[in-house]
Amino acid sequence: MAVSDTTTAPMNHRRPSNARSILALTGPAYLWLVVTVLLPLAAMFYFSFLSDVPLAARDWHATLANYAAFFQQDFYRTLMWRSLRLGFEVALWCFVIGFPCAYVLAKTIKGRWREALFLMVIIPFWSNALIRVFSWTMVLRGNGILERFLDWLIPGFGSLDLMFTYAAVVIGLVHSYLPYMILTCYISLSTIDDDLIDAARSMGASRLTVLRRIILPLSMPGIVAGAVLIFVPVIGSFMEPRILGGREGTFLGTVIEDQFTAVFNWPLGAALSFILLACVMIIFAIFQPILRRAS
Amino acid sequence: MASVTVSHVNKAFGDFQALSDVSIEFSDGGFYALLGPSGSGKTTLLRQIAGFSFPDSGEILIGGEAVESLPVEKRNIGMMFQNYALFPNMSVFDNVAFGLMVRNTPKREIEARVGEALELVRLSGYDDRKPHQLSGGQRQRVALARAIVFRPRVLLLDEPLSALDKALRLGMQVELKRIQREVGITTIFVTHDQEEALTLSDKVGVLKDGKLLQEGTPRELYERPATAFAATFLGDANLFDGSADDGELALADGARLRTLEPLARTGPVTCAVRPEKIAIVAADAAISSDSNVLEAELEEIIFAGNSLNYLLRRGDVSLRVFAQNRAAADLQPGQRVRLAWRAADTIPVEA
Repeated sequence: MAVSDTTTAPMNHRRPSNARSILALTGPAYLWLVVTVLLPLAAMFYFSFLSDVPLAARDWHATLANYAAFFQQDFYRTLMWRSLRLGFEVALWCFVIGFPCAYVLAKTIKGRWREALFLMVIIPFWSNALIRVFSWTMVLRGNGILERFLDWLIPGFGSLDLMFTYAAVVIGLVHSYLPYMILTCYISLSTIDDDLIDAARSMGASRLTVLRRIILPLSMPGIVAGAVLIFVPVIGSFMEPRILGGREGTFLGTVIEDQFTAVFNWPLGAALSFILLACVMIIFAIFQPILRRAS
Repeated sequence: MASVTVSHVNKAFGDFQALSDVSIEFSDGGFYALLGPSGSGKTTLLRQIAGFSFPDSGEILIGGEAVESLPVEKRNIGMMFQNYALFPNMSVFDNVAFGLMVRNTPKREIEARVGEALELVRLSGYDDRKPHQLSGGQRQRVALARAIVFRPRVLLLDEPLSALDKALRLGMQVELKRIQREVGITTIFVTHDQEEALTLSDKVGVLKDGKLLQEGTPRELYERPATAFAATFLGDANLFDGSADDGELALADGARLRTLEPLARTGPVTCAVRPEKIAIVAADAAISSDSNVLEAELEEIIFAGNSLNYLLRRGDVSLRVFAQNRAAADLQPGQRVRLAWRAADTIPVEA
């Protein structure tokens, strides 16, 4: 047997079975992806060129009107800018709040305390998103928890009603997506050798210079990954804007949701979704050189 | 350039006393080795001098100026780290220029001085390389150039050669010594490698358990160790335990050894003898009157190329003797041999 193994005939026998086992192992995953992602996406892409939902009772034909609507009506472009701005601002606030937290977790705190603090970062992931958002309504509304707390802290503070404002949407989204930024920054910060920081200080660098020249550049992959992970879902988000923003919470995501659930204009909703997707891709294409350098 | 004075420095980490009452004078332009096993406090001492942590009590002076409460970035020291700690996101040029850049040196001067520093470490033309494109020895040179380019008052080296393989290490020892001499900077380096300490430095301090046991030139330390620890940590040593009797060392089995100077004290005494100072002599050989003679049983011969390493036993004491290859006699394990060495090579040490 050992001898025949070295000849070519048995080898040729084994090759097809090798291919078969590769197919058997990877097949289910690809099939799953095709059925659950690509097919619906393709169907949506098809819908986006129709004049109406393709049901038996309806009269429909192929058209570019859904895409044209976006370019003809200022309303959609304003919404696109609002959504992009929201995505940018949420990612920025997540960085401003999350990076120092990740730094402390990675560089200052060791052992059990780190685990405990990590748990506190992860907990938002465990709770239901809807409950999380509704609990914010109780904090942010007039005479709510935040107002009473500030009034207790600073007597005569007055009233503060953040509910149904742009700020409320940002607060809710930052809360939801902050863990992504903390975790990605933590990972890239913890790979920075402490000796690098010591070395920079030994050469006379102030803490600010160390941050600017060593820590930020070396943790850029984590910052960029976190920003992308936050930016993409936030510009399409509809739940937080709807519940916390009210009338102020109209973004492209909520309009798209409306097309599917309220107005029943799937073709327009699909067309707007693909325009949003195209926008994200264009942005990434523009920032590609920076992203590549960062990682 | 400046001298460094450490006086009565104490440092504890919780219950662990890392440094206790350490005082050392590092003279201007000298090359000083802090030698000790791991946990001896040598790295802690270096970090106090650098300013990464501060002593609980005691004084540290650099060039006569008290610095024990100044943080590292204000002390103007150059430091080279064990793993070199080059900035992976910067080129060789930017790494070396970093210390000048933070000092707001004009651009043209930075270029000139980085060029000089790279020339000094023989890495001219490597400006644009990234650290990951360099070999271990080249990274070490960049780290050294980076540490001295801004003309610090003191150069601190943490286990500078331990990450290199042996052939490179020997080359870098020579380089390091040449560069230190050319620059003339006060240099303090930490090592656990006794050979490195002896060959590189002009003064060595031996640390153990947070205390400075002994300091002196490499020769002094090697020839006249003050403690049994210093004798065995710096090179090899045979230790003879006995008691002082009439100025001589009386061993438990009745043999008597004369020492460097007649023993002034009484009671138990330990003496150290370097293995290469002992000769295995023929039974009928004439022995000079100032020599000690002992008999021992040869247990094993280890061939080490240029030398032979004899392991011997006398009672329950094991002994070692090193001999040059050319002088080696034809001996067999199990044989009883005569050992002889000069009384002056028998050094009383603290146990």
